Amino acid sequence: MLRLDIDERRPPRNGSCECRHSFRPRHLVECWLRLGRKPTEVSEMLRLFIFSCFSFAVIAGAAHASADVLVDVEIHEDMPNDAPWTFARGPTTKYAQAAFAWNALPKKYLRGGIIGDRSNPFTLRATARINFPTGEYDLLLRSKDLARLLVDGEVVIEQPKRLSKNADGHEVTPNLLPAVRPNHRPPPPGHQEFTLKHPLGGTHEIVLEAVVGGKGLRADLGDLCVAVAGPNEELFRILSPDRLESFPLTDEAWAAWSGRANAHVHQLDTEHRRKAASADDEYWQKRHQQARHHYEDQPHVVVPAVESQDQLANPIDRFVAVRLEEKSLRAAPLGSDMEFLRRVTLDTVGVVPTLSEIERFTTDPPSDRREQLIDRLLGDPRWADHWVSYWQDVFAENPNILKASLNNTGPFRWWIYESFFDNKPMDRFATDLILMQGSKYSGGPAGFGMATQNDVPEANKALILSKAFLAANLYCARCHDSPTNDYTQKQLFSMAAMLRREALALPQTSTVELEGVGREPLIQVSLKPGMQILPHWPLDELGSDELLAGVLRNASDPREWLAAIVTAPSNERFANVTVNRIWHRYAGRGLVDPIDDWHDATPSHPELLNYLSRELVTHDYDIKHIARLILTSQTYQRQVLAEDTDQRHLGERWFASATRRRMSAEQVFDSLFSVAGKKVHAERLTMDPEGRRPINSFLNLGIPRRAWQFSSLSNERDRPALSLPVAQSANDLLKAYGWREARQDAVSVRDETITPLQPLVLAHGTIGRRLVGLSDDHAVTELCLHDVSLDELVDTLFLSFFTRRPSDYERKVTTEFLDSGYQDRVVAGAVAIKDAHAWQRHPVSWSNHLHPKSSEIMLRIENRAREADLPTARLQQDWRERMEDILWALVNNPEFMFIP
Amino acid sequence: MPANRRDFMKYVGGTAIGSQLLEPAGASARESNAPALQGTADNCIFIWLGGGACQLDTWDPKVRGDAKTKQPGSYYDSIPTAVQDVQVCEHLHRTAQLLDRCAILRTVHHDVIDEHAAAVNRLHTGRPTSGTTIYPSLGSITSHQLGPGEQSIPPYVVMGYPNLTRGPGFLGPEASFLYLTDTTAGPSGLMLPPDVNAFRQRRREGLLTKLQSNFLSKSEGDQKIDAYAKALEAGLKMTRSKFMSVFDLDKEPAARREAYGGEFGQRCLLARRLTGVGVRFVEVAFNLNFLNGTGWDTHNEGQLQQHLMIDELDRAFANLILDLEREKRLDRTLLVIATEFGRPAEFDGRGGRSHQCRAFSIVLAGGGLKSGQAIGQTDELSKQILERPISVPDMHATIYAAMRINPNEELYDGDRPVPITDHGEPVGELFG
Repeated sequence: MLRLDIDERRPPRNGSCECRHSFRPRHLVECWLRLGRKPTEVSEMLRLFIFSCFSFAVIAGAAHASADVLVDVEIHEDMPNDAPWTFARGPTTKYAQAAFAWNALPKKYLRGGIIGDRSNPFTLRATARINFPTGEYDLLLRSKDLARLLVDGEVVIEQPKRLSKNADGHEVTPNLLPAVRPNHRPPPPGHQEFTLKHPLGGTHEIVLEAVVGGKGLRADLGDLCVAVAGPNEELFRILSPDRLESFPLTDEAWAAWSGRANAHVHQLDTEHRRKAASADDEYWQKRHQQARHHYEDQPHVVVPAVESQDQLANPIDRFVAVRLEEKSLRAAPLGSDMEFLRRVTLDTVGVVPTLSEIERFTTDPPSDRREQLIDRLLGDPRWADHWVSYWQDVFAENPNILKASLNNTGPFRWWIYESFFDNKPMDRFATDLILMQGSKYSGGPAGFGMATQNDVPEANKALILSKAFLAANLYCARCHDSPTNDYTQKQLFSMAAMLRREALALPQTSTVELEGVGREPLIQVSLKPGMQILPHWPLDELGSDELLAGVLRNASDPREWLAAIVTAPSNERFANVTVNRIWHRYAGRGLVDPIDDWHDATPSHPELLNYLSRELVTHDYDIKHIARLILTSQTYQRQVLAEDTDQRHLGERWFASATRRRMSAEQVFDSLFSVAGKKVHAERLTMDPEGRRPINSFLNLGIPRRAWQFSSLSNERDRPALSLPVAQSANDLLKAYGWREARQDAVSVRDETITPLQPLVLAHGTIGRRLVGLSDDHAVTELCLHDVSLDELVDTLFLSFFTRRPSDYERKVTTEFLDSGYQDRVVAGAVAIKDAHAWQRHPVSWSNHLHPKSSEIMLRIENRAREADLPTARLQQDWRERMEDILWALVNNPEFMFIP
Repeated sequence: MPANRRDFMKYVGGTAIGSQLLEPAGASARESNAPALQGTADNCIFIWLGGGACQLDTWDPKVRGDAKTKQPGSYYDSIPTAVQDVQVCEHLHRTAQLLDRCAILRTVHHDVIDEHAAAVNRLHTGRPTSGTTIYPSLGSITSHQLGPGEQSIPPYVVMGYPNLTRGPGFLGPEASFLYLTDTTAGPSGLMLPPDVNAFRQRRREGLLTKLQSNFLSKSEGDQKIDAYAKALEAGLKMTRSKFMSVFDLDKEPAARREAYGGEFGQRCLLARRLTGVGVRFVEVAFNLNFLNGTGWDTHNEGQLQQHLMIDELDRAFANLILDLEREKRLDRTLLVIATEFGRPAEFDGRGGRSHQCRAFSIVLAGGGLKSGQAIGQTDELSKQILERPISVPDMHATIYAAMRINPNEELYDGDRPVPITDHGEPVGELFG
């Protein structure tokens, strides 16, 4: 039987459905229709469902209609410039989808599953056989660039105009194009639309061909679609061989479809990437086999015996117990089930548990529920989202959407995400990064290799890699020998030369003049400018290059050497540092601190560190294995104690009790939006939505959905025409909680100093307002419109926000405040506001941003953005305002911010 | 034990006594070091002409050129000023009469030629980016060294877009800024939303107090939670404090508001009010690009309506000087007009100009400096510096000296000492 969420009429928050078909949006649609919901309601519910899935990966098997009702899509590369429609070579990418509509294309993957670049331009060709009842039809073709539509081999519509480059930004701001008919989705700026009346009847072969990109242009697809309106039909529908997939060309339907389409592309990417990666699978299997055998000849790490052994099945707990006994410290009790649920959900997937997740957990049998939860969470695709921000900081991922300059990198965040989505083994992950291959600007690890305006980018990367994987801090050695540890500039530059794959000359700009300083210098400079430094592994105490020749795929590549030296099981540092990082992430303090600089540090539990390292090495460098070990331990699950005593502080150091942690900026942001059930509606992160600038100076980072997808907005020029107001408001909130907008340097632990201005950003800033304002798309608005008791409503709120039920006092305060007017809260006959985000539509792009009208338009939009979202008309105003006040108190309650 | 000054600040900051002890970082240096070159400024208003304002068309005019015939030179006529032998663009006529309160530095230069972001960064942080040390901005350093003029007042405010170049770098979040992009809307985060009046806000805060009490009492003794709750309380208190009335420009007489002019003028007016209640450093961006499309980055057609921008600047700046004099605090307020580079005498294909970083002008006023002079000499087309070059670090050192911050001070990025400027020397002619 269909099992929906708490209330049968609301869509499931995470798509749980125990029907045989397993959940698919199309299936959900059918179920809801069968339950008697109207089609317009269904599209609304589908939208809510899609949005509350949040990470666009969740929907497996999305939109796969059966084989003979699909559109076949081919991507062809390297077409001759003057003959874009010659398809002799054959496609480099082939896939199928449900309809003639695109807002994104699957990526190209190189060997190893690394994101690569297609030729620029490339051509798309989509084919389907579609049956039409006889009649006169209106056909519509919308595209950004050269495109044409063929019916039975004959060109019927052509978009002949080639997109032109624009460098100077001085074009006249165009007007927004009107929609082809009332209530239709208008073409976005930079797009063209052509319609044609054409008779059809019976089965026809429909082909769409479109050119994407070109010289000096970024290969952005934009909106591409073919739509059709039958005789006497008001609405154009997107063309599809499957009638059910043919949705109306309206904003609402396009938005609903976008979620499905993104999920489908995500699934295609996963398939293509894993296929491309499989070419190297054998090599890595061999490496891991060697790793498993590595410790065979060595003495095992003995898990100690302790008195209370029977209750301490997890080896971690025994190692910790030994120390606690030594120091006469008593372990704190375990946190409650709900505290555990909240903590582990935040720690694994980066958001607070949803209502249905809470229900699932509490209805699981008590003896198993924690383990089952851990298993579910470790299999959850949002695991990947939660790791991206961590590595963005550690690797200093620092893309710039406008003319990379200030020590910028490419947007290799996408590679990080995919690595964790695939649960890539850590040695393979580190190797990918060190090899720096693939696409620079579209998200491959080659983006890591960039450091714009840096005189020796490789030296910077060597610094970052040393800190990230070896906890060796060579920062000072960037310009001179380090005064605080033993690393010399020559060592850093030897590693840099390995990354460059050739000898490096030390530039003048990377050294320090010691003449005439006027005091005894604190530093030594042993290298002279112009000196050649050869590629050479410099850190013998941390790893050796012996015995590795058999392990290398390409022994003549210094980067392969570097990767192999760092990750070889014989060099224990990498495994030690990795497990320590994972430990620190969940425990709030490392077994070794600081986690990225072990120069002066001693491990608190050296045997435990060894044990976990060996577990990593002998289990294919799988960090989920380590995570499982840690999360299932009592050590991880202990309470945080509050008393301000020496005993407590000492105890925390030895893990007698858990260390207090505050949510990261990303967790705050993503959790609040999850609870509110809203989309951020941020702008597409680009200064050139038209796609008329080259990718090496103008990136397009897409529409951000989770916090890690946001980026610096690069408005050093202070130009209103370049502002992205909604994204800016999101950045403001993220920054207030420690997110770094630009990451010029590598950081492993963020500065979370709190000043009075920071919580104010949430309390009064634009995003804060949107999170508590009861707009039509707010989950709490939906909740309030339902026929539930006030008690139940209050319960649901506290569960959503704090993963617990309210105390008696809290219930009293809240229900007393909301009681008056509760029975009459719903305004009969009121409807949801349509097109609530139409104001965000504008024609400003780089090509016209220096025209005065563009500044005027964006200033108006900035003003409108400050007004947040319109409140729903469906709730009585006075009661709604009181409900919003309650929400404000819940959102700004410090309890939300701290991990229990 | 605290290992360095920063640790010490965090250490004492956490105790009640400590917060009384909390002095701004450079205070002792201010008193004891007392170098000879010192101004009298307590606050700074840093006017930022984003885009690269052309010095030939403003503060360092030369022979009249002609864009149509591609004759290089100034785009406007020049006029005499209150300073002998010094002329400025005709559109700066109000400021021209007050130029004796100003000093023009005509020979500022750097080597970041082509890219706005890099040049903006150089002007704000005084250094190239390194990838190892994230240098703080002028505003962050100033507010970090001096602290706010009053307790609970944010020391650093930006009226423009938040970006990295204005940020605190290694000085951390405490040296960051509050920002606004519209004077009527005020700073995001500080102003109540329009649909929440004082009554409703009190109601909300009352609910918050009740609903957080359970959590706060359970976590009593937890320093992290305590610090957060205190910060939240202090922030909310600030939004209720008298400080907020500083943003209410309607309190100014209508005539004065009109005198200052459009949005940029209102920003200057607000800056005057902010520095009047103790905000140390206010950066005021002039980015009303709808006037001419390009703002100060006058390539191509942007040149055509540039005079509208210059007129707005002139009107606001002149009124600011007069207002500060009227309030008898021009000596205590340093005014700076800065830009990321200048522009060459030649005109481009559509009548505008490209970039020039090897010689451009920065203007200073107030702050107890020896005003009424133009320092440094450029050649007949303002292309080359003939005498007295002033580097960006020199400009920063001058600003610090004017504000009685030791220009030889060392900041700390962890263990690493970082001189407050990159070998900059204050311009001696402005002091003593």
